[in-house]
Amino acid sequence: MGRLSSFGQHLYTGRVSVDFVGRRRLWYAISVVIILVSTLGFVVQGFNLGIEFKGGVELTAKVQQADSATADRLTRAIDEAGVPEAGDPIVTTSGRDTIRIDVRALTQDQTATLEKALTDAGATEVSQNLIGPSWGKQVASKALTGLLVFLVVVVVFIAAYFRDWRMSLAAVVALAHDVLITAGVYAWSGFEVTPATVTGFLTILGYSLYDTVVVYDKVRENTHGVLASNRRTYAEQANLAVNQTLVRSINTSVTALLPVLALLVVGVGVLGSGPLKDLALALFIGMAAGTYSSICIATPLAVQLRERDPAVKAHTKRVLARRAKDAQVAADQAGADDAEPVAAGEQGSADRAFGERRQPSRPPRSARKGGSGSSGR
Amino acid sequence: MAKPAHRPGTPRPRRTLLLFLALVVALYGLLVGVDLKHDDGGVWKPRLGLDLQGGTRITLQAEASSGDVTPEKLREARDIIDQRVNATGVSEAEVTTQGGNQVIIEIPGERRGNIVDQVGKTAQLRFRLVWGQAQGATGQPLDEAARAKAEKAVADVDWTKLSLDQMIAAETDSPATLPKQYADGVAALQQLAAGFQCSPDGNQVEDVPSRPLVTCDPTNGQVFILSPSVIEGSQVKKAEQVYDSQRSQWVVSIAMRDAGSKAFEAVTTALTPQQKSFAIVLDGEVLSAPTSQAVIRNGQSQIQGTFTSTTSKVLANQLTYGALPLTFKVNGVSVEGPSLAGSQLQAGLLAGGVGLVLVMGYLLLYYRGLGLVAIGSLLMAAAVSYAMVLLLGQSLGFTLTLPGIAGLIVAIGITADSFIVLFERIRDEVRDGKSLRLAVESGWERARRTILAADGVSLLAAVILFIFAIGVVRGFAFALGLTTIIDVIVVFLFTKPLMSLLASTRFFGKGHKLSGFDAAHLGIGERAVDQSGPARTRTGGRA
Repeated sequence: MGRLSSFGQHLYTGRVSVDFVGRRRLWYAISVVIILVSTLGFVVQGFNLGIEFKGGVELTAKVQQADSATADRLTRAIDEAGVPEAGDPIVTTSGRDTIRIDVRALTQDQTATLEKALTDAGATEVSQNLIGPSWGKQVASKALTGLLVFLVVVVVFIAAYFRDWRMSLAAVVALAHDVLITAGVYAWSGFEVTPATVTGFLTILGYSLYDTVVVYDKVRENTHGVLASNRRTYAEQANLAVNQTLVRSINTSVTALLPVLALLVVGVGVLGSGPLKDLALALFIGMAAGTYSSICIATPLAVQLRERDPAVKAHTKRVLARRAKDAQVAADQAGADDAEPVAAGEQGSADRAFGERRQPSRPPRSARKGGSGSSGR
Repeated sequence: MAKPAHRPGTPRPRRTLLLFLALVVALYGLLVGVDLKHDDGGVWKPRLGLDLQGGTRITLQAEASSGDVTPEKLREARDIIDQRVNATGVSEAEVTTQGGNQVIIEIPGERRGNIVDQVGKTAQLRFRLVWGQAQGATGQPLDEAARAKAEKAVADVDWTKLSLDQMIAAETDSPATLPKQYADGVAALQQLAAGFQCSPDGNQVEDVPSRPLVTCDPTNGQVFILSPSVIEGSQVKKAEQVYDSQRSQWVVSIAMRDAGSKAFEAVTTALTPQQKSFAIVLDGEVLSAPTSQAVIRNGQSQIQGTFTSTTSKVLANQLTYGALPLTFKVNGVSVEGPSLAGSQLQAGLLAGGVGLVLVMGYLLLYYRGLGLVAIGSLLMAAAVSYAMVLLLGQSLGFTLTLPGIAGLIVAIGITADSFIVLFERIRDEVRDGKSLRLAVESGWERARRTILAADGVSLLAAVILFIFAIGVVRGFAFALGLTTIIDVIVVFLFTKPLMSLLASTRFFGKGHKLSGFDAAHLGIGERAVDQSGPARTRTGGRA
């Protein structure tokens, strides 16, 4: 932990810096590969639609011991119950003491007959869930409407809050990235798609953007007034912001993922089936992807878009030109530099340098106040 | 870039903290008040959804074919279904509309899947004349093709031109007396009736009011050929079971509205002399086919039969509430057994508990003393959330479902994030060389914006999810939105003032090894928290 903390300090000062913005091609490439692999999931594997989307009856029987022998016994009981419509039931064990039986759509009386047959065959309690074929579709179509409204509102919100439509655009791209990856992994997992899954996906939307906004807010703070000084480029300041929020990103994703992991483990291990595990899996992947995309997709992309702005472009040019000149001066003064790293260390927190050694040319601290927000005045 | 001089007012952490604690106490005080009023002790347990306590949930879906599904019609249908459910003797049932075209019936704690037969099935009630009847099928069952052909022949005839008198004549004499253009249709009807297989489990018959109908009474297997509808069920004003003490039997008395009364008079006038009967058809099945024994002029009539107390009550209910403004089909029935529901509840609580402990452990390990602040804040958020769930359960009927619990669990992470954002900002300020007291204030100014913006997005998601979602998703969205608001309240009124207070303690202010602010932990080398190098001339406040 201590190591992570001082790592945090290094990230904050910029002594340790991962070039998230500069190496965007790498992150994009990684994401494209992950997206391709996961989207292959729903191309090759397809979604395992739950009974809510197909319609039918789901019978959940509590038994003493949920093993294959009991499952066979219950299957036989269904076969012999005299309800021909209930042919080919899908029988799965779920948890230690629950067996789930999916059959096609039946009437209430037929379902009651099956219930009785199951009880006679040793089930202590039978729950039933009869679902019309349109039920899941309705949930999904409602969710889709909600999604569209949400996207529009959020795009406007982010654009208004950061006064930058490019950030909105990048945030939505990152969102699509998270949803695609989650959908793909979900397909690969073979978990059933239930209304709980839909809930999970909708939550990812919120979480992914939530996380992006936290990082963006630091970017906004760091790049505030960056164009007024010629010390750092927009991209460098944004990258510093990502690095400075990295510890927070790690801690947040850990604290967010731990409870979801608990849900997932309990959902799979104790309940075996049901909404908990569907929701938890979607959330787990989505939140992890959301944290990654806020750092490696949303911010670099926003910066990339921003850099097309002529003003930013010109500024970047100016900064680089000035730096080249400074490097020239520094090279001329070779020899005096040997002591510099120590000096930089002493400067500690105040020094946000990206390895540049330009102490002599630094303006007085007071003059830098309004400029680079990163130093926190 | 706030300067000390620009900081709005001097923060009064103590007062804010007291305010917050007073709020929490007031919340629980309110609960105690509600508890005293109700005096059933049920206030302290959240209202659980069906998936957590067991029960029956029936989803009825209005079919598009039954005309425009307007909110008024749906509400009317909801009221009728509600009455109907209550009429079956279920006391705690809750009937709600959902998603603009659904009616949901929820019966907690009871296994009443069979109630569907009484509330879901009953949709369209009509009175028709009996053009012919027989005990069971008189011929061979028709194959698919033959039946479809006969049904088409019936549908092809325009029956709407038939007058009431003609329909009555078809019963009192014979359907054969109908004008020639109906001959094909009548022949087809007879063909259908001859091959009609009556199933006691319900018969799927398309009940079109403007056409004759071949159907049966599933209770006794009688097959009927019926005229087009003569009186619609909506004409029934009221029906009730009455005990006829003279004959010592149960009867069902019916009161008709005006138009229905007139038609009823015409029908009974024609049928009574010959002791002919008419049929009451409910959803395409004959409910009862009483013999007309008297001319009914005022629309007040009685149906006699071999009724028991129960069956007469059922019929009365069906007659009264039978005419729904919409046609519904059963879209879902779920019956959750109590022990399955119990294990879902346990699993949900277990996951929540484990999740909370893991998060607390991590926060303590990483933030040390600061972790305690986070844990305290989480516990406060939990306490407020719990009180709100209870209060909303009492006032708005909010029920806690499994997705709702999942929403609360997910919220742990989002709530903890607010503290993390705040802590990291404060630590950044400390790294900049500020004293902890100053760092808390300036870190807060930055963190506040971030927290508000991020929680704003989260709340937006929850609200939109709530508005557009149906069913289980709503409970989840509600829980998420609620906890997001609580998160903001706790951070503003509890965590931040607590940090301000703690900053002036020796333990935190001097950067004790376990405080989470020690120099080594922050990675700022040897210098102590409040004796920072470069900023020494500028940091005014000393802890």
